[in-house]
Amino acid sequence: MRGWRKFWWKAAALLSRKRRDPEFDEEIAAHLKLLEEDYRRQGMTPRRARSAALRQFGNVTLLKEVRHAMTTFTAIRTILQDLRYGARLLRKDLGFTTVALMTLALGIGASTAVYSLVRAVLLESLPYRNAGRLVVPRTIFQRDSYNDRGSVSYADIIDWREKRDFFDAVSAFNSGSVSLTDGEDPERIHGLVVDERFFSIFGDPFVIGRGFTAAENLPGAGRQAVLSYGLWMRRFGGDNRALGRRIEVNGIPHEIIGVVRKDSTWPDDAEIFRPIGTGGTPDANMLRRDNHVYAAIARLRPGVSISQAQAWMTVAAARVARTETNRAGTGWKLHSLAGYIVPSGVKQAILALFGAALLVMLIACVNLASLVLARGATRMREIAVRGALGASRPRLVGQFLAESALLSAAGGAAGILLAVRFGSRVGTVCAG
Amino acid sequence: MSKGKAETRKSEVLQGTLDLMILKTLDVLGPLHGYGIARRIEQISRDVLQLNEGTVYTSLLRLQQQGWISSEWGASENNRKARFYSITARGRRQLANETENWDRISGVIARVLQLSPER
Repeated sequence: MRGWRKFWWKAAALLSRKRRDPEFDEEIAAHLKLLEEDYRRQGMTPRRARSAALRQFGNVTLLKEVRHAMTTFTAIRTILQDLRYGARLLRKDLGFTTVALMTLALGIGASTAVYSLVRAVLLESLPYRNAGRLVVPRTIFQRDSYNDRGSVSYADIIDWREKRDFFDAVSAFNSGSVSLTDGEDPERIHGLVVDERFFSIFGDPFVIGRGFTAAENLPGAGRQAVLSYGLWMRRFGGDNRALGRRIEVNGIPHEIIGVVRKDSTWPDDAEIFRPIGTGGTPDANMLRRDNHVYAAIARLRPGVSISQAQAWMTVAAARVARTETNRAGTGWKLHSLAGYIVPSGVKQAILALFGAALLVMLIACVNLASLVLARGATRMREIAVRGALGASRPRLVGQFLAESALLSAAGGAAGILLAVRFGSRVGTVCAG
Repeated sequence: MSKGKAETRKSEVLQGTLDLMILKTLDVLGPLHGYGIARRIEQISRDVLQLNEGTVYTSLLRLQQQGWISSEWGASENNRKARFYSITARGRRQLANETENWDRISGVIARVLQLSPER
C-alpha cells in the first residue's frame, strides 16, 4: 500500500515540467533566515550569524539532492534527458543523420516489403477448411509446347468423380465476365459458373445463405446467384435481407441465395457465382473427350496424397490418350491448390528476392555501424570532459544508447512508410 | 554517499524515530512550520538530540508521501510566507499504532533488563 502513494508523488512530479523546486528553496531560505535572526539576537555579527545558521542547518545542497532523489523517477528523468540531448545532437549533425536515416529506411523498407509478400503468398495458408486437400486437376498438352494447365473435358471429370477412393468430390466450373445490368450503375465484373459441389469443396464459406442444389444445376434452370462479400457490400450495403432479392446478370434476373465470406479468394477475383448447368444426364456434346472447356477443382480423400492420386491419373490419362480420338499426347496433372496459385517459378523468384532484401539489410547495418563508429571517434573529447565532470560509465553508455534508439526509431518508421507506399509494386513485379 | 553499515542502520533508526517525534509534535502542538518543528524537538529532547536541522525536511517529505501529514502555505510569526504542516487523520492513526508498538517494546526490554542474575 505504501509504495503506491510514493509512486503517485513521483508520477505527479514527472508530469510537472519544473526542473527546480522553487517552493522548497523558499522554505529553506525562510528557515535559515529565522535561525540567523536567533543568532543575531544573541549578539553575533550578521556574517557570523549567517555561518552559524548554515552550520546548524546542515548541508543544503545535499538536502536538495536527497529530496530530488525522493521525488523523481530518476531513471525516467535520465532517459528523457538523454533523449532530448541526443535529439539536439542529431539535429546539429544533419549530414550524418540524413545518411544514417536513409540507409536504415532503405534496408528496413526493402526487407519489410518483401517479407509482407512472402508472408501473404507463401506462409499464410489458404483460408479454407481442409485447404491442404484441395487440388486442381488439369490437362497436359504437349503439341506445341509443354503446358500442364490446360482446361479439362467433362468426360475426364466424370472419370475422376468415379475414382471415389481417391477423390472426395470433384467440381466443374468455368470463369468469364458478366454484366450486372440493373440499378443505377451497370458494371462489368468477373463471374464463375459452378456446380452444386463447388462450395462444399471449399467448406461452405458462407456469411449468409447457401450454395446451389443439384436441381438448380439442371440445364435451363439455374436462375440463382451467390455474391462475393465485396459485391454484397457494394450493392446491398451488407443487408441480410439481400437474400431472396434479385440481381440482373446479363439482362436476366437471378435470385440471390448466398454470400461468401470476406477472406475467401476466387479464381479471377470472381464476384458472382451462378449455376453451370451441368446437372442431370450429360448430352453427347458434353461427353466428347476433346471438348476441353471446363475447369475443375477436387478434394482428396483424407489420407490420400497428391503423388498417389497423380500416379493413378498418369496411368489413366495414358489409357485415354491411347483410346480416345484427338487425345494423343495428352495427360493429366494434379496441382495442389496452393501450388496452382503460386507456380514454383514465382515462388522461387520471391524467395530469391527475399534473400536479396536480407542482404541489403545486412549491408545497410554494416554501413550504419561504420558511420556511427566514425562519428563516435570524433566525440572522444566530449566523452572525456563528461567523464571528468563525474559522469558514470552507465550514464555515458546511456547517452549513446539514447541516440541510437532515436536513429533506429526514426529510420524504422521511415522504412515502414516506404514499404507501405511501394510494397505493392514489389508484388506486381514478381507476378509479372 | 556510501556510509558504513553500522552508521547506515543508526541513521535509519534515527530517521524513523524522527518521523515519530515530528508526528507527535504536530499532533500535540497543531500546525507548525519547519523551523518551529526543529525548535520544539530541540526543546523536548533537551538538547540531547544533535541533528542537522535540515534532516527535518527529509522526514517531512517522507511523512507527506505516506499521507500522514499535509501542508499549506501561511504566514509565520513575523508575517513571512511559510509552509505549515499538520497531521492528518491517517497520521493520527499511524501515531497511535506506533506509540502502542513503542510502549510494548520498551516494556519488554525494561522487564528483560530488570532480570537479576539467578543464583
